[in-house]
Amino acid sequence: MKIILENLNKDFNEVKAVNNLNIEIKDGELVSLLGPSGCGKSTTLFLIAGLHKPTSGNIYFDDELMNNIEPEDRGIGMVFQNYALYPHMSVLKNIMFPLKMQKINKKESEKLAIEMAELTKIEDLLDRKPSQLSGGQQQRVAIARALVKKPKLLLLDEPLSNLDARLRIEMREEIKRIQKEVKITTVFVTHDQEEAMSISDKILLMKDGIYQQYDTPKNMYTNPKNKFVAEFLGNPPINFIEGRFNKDTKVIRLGNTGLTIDGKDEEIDKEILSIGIRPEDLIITDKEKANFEITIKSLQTMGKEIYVMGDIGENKDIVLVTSWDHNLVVGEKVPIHIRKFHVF
Amino acid sequence: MMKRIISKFTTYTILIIGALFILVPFIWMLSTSLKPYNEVLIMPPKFIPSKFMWENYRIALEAAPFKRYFLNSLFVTTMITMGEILTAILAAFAFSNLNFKGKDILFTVLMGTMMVPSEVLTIPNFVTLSKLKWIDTYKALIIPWCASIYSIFLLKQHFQSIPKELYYASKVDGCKDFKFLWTMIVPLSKPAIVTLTLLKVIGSWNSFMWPLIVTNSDKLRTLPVALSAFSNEVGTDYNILMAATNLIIIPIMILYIFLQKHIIVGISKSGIKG
Amino acid sequence: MKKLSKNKELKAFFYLLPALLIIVTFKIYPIIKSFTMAFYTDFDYLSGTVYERGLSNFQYVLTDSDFYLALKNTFFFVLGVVPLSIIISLGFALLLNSNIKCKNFFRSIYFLPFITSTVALSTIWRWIFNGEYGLANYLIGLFGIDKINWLTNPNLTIPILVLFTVWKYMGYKIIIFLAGLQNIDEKYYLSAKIDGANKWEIFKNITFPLLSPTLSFISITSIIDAFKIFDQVFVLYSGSTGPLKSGLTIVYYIFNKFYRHWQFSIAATAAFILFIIILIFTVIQLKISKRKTNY
Repeated sequence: MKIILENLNKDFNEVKAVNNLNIEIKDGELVSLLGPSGCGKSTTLFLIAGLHKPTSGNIYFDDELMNNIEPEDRGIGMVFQNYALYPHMSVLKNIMFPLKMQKINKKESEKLAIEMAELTKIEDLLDRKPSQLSGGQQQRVAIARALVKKPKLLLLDEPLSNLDARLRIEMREEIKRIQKEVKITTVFVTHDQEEAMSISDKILLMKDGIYQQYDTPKNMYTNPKNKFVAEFLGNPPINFIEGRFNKDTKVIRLGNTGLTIDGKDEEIDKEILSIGIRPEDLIITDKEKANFEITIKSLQTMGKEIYVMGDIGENKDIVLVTSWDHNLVVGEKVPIHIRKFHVF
Repeated sequence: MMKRIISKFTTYTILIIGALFILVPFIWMLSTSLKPYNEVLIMPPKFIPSKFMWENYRIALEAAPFKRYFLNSLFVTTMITMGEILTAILAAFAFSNLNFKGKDILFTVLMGTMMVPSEVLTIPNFVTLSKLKWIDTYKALIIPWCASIYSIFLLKQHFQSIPKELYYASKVDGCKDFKFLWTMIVPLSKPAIVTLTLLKVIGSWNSFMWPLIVTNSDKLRTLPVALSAFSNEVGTDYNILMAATNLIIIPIMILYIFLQKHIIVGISKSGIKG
Repeated sequence: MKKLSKNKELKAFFYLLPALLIIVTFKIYPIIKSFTMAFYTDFDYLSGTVYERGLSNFQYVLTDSDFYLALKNTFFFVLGVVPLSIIISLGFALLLNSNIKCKNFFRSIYFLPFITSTVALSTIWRWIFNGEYGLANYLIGLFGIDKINWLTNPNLTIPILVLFTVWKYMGYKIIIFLAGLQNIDEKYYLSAKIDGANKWEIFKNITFPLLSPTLSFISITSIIDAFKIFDQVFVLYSGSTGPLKSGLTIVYYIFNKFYRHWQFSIAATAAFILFIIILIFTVIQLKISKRKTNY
């Protein structure tokens, strides 16, 4: 099912939680709504579910206007942050509940529920109560319950935020697998950029209720539309250096350092710029290929890689990521090549 | 060490004296109710009757239509309790889960009326019931008590403590509000509802002034009213009177023995009278 | 959107309807009615026609010696029952709150009278206070005291009512106090002990101040309940107001005017005055409970 949000607005008292949002989600896509807390991503999800009513604007499922349809009639499945399992019902009863609401007979709904439990790998837990389950198991039950009635749309509200780091990675693979298996249009809310990047077909990044960029993870990472998008994606975060562009020479001077980079391939129409360079685009290299040198101030070993913090002069620090191959020492000067940079 | 033992001993002594102070009237009632007539009016009294006269209970039951009164009390108590819990569940749900205009104002007004003692309302209510021609009917005994602001308040508090996500989840799962109330909220609020039910049962079963005022005829009397009348008619047959008295006490006592935990927890949480 | 929000109100209305119907008819309407009724000086209660309004009901009630007697009796009762029942219940609650076996057993016993019908209990107590063969006379006889005509001596009416009421409501107050005591954090006691405080000092400096919210709740509700005393008197004294009207209380006065003399507006006026008295204490309680949230 295709989802269209058209000029969507939601005000809570004076606050604009969602501000004139226009997006289209294609059939079978997994879309993440991403942004810092309070950016309106959950509100958008609740608007799609019908649990909140929009202040103005329209929501279409395929070509049908949904504004006045109650959530219980929208045919959606939803997983909540705290899973919202019905505490007094067994796992099986929880999964069967949506079918019971559709008045499907008990035998049939039990069969469907067990099928779904097999898909989500919880078939051994059917008699347990939610309080007897671990976080990951509860998560699976919630997904099974959301999917059992074969909805055309699956909504997930920060479903992984209550799990520990290892389980989070496991469950996000699971969600991706299940989603591909049942080919359901899915909207996934998260504040974790890594999670969004790894799981989504497309990401909608929001800030203060306002649309920032709606794109595939790759495009969004490699071609951020603005500084906020560039800064929000990537870990460690992108480095920003103030730059001055000389229109005649097409050269960008970095800060007050006297270092320059070539700007002739960029379309630039202003003088003062913000240059964004991702840590992995700063490469330790030979003297002749180097754009400039940094003085290493500190090293942080992260396991498979090392974060290097260095001074490019005039106390302007940048972070770069490198492998163990180099024998780096604090205080050492290292030549650096800029593989790629972004101009804002 | 010695000091400790003495202090423990004193504590228990006081507690036991207190318990006796509470229990002696009940024991006295029980003992009198089982005495043959010639052992009732003697000094010094005998606590254990020479012969257990279970007869007395049969005589009491026949001396006045206590069976009828018992059924009246049972019927009225059941109806009031069911009615009140039902209206309270519905109204509490509206206050806890639905959004509507004037919700806060309405709730404040309702809370405000709790300050007015029910004795003040008796007279106008009597007039209303006369106009409705309900005086001396079961309706008069039951209907005015089928809604309680206090119960609405208590249930609303409880309903609000149920996570909102459950409400959302059930909506998404295709559950209408009314169904949600009965399949989710009510089962999840069972302890609160049980407590409320018990308090209401005790309160209605024991209520006296209202049934006294709105009923005249014999056949509508509830047990407390009947006992009050009977105690003035019975003369010196204290054994029979005590047997009749015990008939009122026993049902609640049985309830109390089995469900005292719920009752006591409910009272200590809410701080209200039964 | 418009249609949807209308539906919302309608839906809520249906949920509220059963409760509201009863509450409006039997709670809100009578509140208004009883206040207006107090000002009816001449009316027909069946047809509802009011021929005359005025303040003469207040004049009647406030000059009625019976009403003053009822006020006096009720005040004496309140003065007797409130402090006594609080001291006794607090004492027992403190004992139960120490490290006691069978705590729940004692608590259950103390609570028994509270759940039992006042009418039934009054009937039992009437038999206990029987002048010839009552248990009370037997017990004082053990101490060599002569028989007393408990229920016909006007000087004993209020003390008997106080005793009965303390007995009946003691368990309830103990439970409330216990709940309050259990809310006090153990660590205060421990740190006081480390500071070398003895039992009495701990009670004075820790328990009592921290229990004050419960204490004020119990005091005020006891006062309000005590002002409404009726059932006990009615049954203990076989539907009379006791010897020489020594058991005439405010509610009994209202009951008499209304039920026995059919003076509805007089009764409503007295009820109005009772409401004012209770309102004053309710407001005090609200004030206190507001203040207690400040620390």
